[in-house]
Amino acid sequence: MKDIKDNLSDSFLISEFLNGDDEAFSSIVDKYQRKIYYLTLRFLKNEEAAQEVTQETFIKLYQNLKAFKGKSNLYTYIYRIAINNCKNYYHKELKSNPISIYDIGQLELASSNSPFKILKTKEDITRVSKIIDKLPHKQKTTFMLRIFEDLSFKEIANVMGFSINSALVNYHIAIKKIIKEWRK
Amino acid sequence: MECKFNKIELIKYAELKRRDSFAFAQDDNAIIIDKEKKNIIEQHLKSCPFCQKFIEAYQSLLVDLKNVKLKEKDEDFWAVMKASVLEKLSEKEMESTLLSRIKLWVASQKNNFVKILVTSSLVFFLISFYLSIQYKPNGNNLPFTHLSDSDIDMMLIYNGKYIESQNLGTDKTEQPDESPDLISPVSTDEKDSIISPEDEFYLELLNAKEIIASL
Repeated sequence: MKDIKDNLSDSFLISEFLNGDDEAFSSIVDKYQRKIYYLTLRFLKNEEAAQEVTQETFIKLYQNLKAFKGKSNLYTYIYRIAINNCKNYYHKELKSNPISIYDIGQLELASSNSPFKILKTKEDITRVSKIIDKLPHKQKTTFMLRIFEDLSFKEIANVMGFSINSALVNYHIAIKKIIKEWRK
Repeated sequence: MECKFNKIELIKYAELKRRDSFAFAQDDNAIIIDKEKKNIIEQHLKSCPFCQKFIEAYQSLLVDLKNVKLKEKDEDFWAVMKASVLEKLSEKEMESTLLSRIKLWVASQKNNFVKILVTSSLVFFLISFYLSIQYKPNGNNLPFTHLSDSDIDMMLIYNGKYIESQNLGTDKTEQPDESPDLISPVSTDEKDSIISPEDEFYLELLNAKEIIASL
């Protein structure tokens, strides 16, 4: 979650950038490149693709930042660009040549205190990842933004460009499908 | 048989629990449910094993998924990433600057282009007009059809006859069609083998003068 301080900082960086300070944009890249890279990596499951899409995201941000009206938060704006880029990249490059689900080498299983642990092995993770990947784009994105990026439904609605209720419903359908598939 | 209880409400309830446990999504009003509904859900969960399992599976899945971490990259990776973003940006900036300069130049030259176009059209029209007056299409004024005296002499020397049709528009005196006297005294074989082209020319000119004088 972003606190008020972070948002102020974003608006400060944007105003500095609009005043012609290129260092401000460099700071924006510094601040968000990790989040965007991991988000795109989770979507595309390919390091090279994730790097390319992350770079493309910041280039698009640079080109469009002058038109940014500040109606939404900067990070939801960046997420939106990143997700659109992922979608385009997937349809252009990966759809015909799909990459195997989560390269095992990229994952680390942290210890869990969950009383009903479901994902016990890396194979379990691979299996659940396959289920998530089969979800339609809206459900998959809503689920991933909620789980991995900890965005509120309002923020998800901002990123995806639909209502809060749609975000809730998409999330609910995604959860239902994942659990149903997992139990098979 | 699956329970028909509203699963969205169940998920909201689970998300509220998660928020309270992990202090996350504090501004998420979408998952707030009133006390009355909360009590109904809790009562239902006590009596319905299906919904209970659903909630348990949901919570476990979330916790497990959140524990799946992608491998952290070192600082060099981020430094290279940032540098390549900035490099690409400067490349794009240069491209767009070049493009905008070309556009500006074209825009600034717009008036000059119009002037050049008008002037060249005018010049072309004037030249066409001059040519149409100067050279009429009946063929009499085509410069390359007028044969000089020396041309006729040369024609006599080489062809042995003067062809009227080649002297378009001239009033030159007619020459005999064919005469054995007009044939060059030097044979072709000799010309090719012994005499140089300059000598051959003077020789033939001499012969021609002699022939004309004897006529």
